[in-house]
Amino acid sequence: MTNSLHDRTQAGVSSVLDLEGVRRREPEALAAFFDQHFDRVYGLVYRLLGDRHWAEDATQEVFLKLHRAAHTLDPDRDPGPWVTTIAYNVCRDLWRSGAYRLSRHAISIDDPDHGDGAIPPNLKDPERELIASEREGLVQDAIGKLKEPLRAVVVLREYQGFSYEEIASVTGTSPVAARKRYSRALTELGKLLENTFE
Amino acid sequence: MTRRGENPEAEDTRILERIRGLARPPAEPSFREQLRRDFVSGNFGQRPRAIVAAPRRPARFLAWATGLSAAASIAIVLAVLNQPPRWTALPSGGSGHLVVNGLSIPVRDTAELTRRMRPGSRIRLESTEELDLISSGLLAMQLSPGTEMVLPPPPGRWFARGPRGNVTGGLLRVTTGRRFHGARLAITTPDATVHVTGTTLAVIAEPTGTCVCVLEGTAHVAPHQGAMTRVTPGSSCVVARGGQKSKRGEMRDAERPRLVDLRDRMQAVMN
Repeated sequence: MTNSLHDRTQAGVSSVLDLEGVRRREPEALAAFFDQHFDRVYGLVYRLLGDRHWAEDATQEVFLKLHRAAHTLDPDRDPGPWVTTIAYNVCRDLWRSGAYRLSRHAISIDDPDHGDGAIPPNLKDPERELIASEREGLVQDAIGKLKEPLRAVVVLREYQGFSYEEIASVTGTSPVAARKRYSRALTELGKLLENTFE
Repeated sequence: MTRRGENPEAEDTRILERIRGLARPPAEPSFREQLRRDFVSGNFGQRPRAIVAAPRRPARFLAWATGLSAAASIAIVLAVLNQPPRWTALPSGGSGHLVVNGLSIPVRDTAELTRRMRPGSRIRLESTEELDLISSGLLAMQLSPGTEMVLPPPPGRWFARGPRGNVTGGLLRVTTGRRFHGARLAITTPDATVHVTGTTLAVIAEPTGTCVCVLEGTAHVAPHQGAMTRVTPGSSCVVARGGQKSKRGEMRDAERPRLVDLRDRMQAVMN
């Protein structure tokens, strides 16, 4: 199952969650809500920010905002887009912060967390897994090198399974602009990953 | 290797395969558990400083504000640099007054005349002699006694180069300077509009109609309800009061020496 399909399936299950309980901040409902959305949020912010530490900070901030705004949750609607919008806005605020920009320039290539995005190698075939891990690192690096608006469209479409209309709603642009950005992002990624196609 | 442009769809497919092939980034179990406890209890630890300090929406606003202020500054600088030399009154030998917007100023007080004459001012010469006005390098005008007009602005350096003036009655002689090139002055009388694009001419607004005498260059005369006529050097064009047609002929004999004198004196002063 691809990431996006997995995310979609998770979002669909939200309807069976006790959203009224979430609105009342009941511990059991909050725990179920957290389990339902954590991986999705973490995966999204990780792809958008490209760094584990920033992803953890952003994820914490997202769930803090979700907790504070829980009473505004509409129990009749899928909370997925709401959660995604909050997560995207936290990332967007971070992109604009001086600390984040500074850290992007200062990330060391020796940082083991930087841009690998890979699952620890499977020791059954270490050489093949190492190559796969390196390739995944290159892809994550390439995504991280995209300009933020382009990166957001790729991540939302490919890892969240969003339509252009949904992307437009989250990012505050138009569906046509989202489609153009997606196309530009693929072109940029093609250039960045050119040497990995062999 | 496939280069984008040769087969973009195949290229996109390969890129998408790479992107979609990325495994979901795993979170540290300890981080996840700690955050889960915080979320359920509502008791979050200290928030990351960078996130707390993250700006809400200043970047775009600042960019817009900077751009707008830069554009406004450039516009102001351009507007200032575009300003033409203002009208200056030359000393007149006659006695009498120039009435500027209802204020009577002696024609010998050239400093006060120069200070009072602004584009758009309504002026009327009540004097025994002509009065010369110049905008250095651009334009010179000579008002005959009894002439009443609305003062046009001199043409700008780069834009606003199509000024308009109005002669209600009397005789106005005009000669253009070197820096007038490319500009177009329109002088309206009760009967016609005279378009000046580099010439020496006289515009005579009489009770019976308007006569335009051209010494050199060309002018175009358009009756208010008729077709435009081209007036060549040495000729004149008369538009009768209320008439729709213009009548061409030789320029008035009396005007030729006066226009030559004006041109020679003003060219020496202006250029």
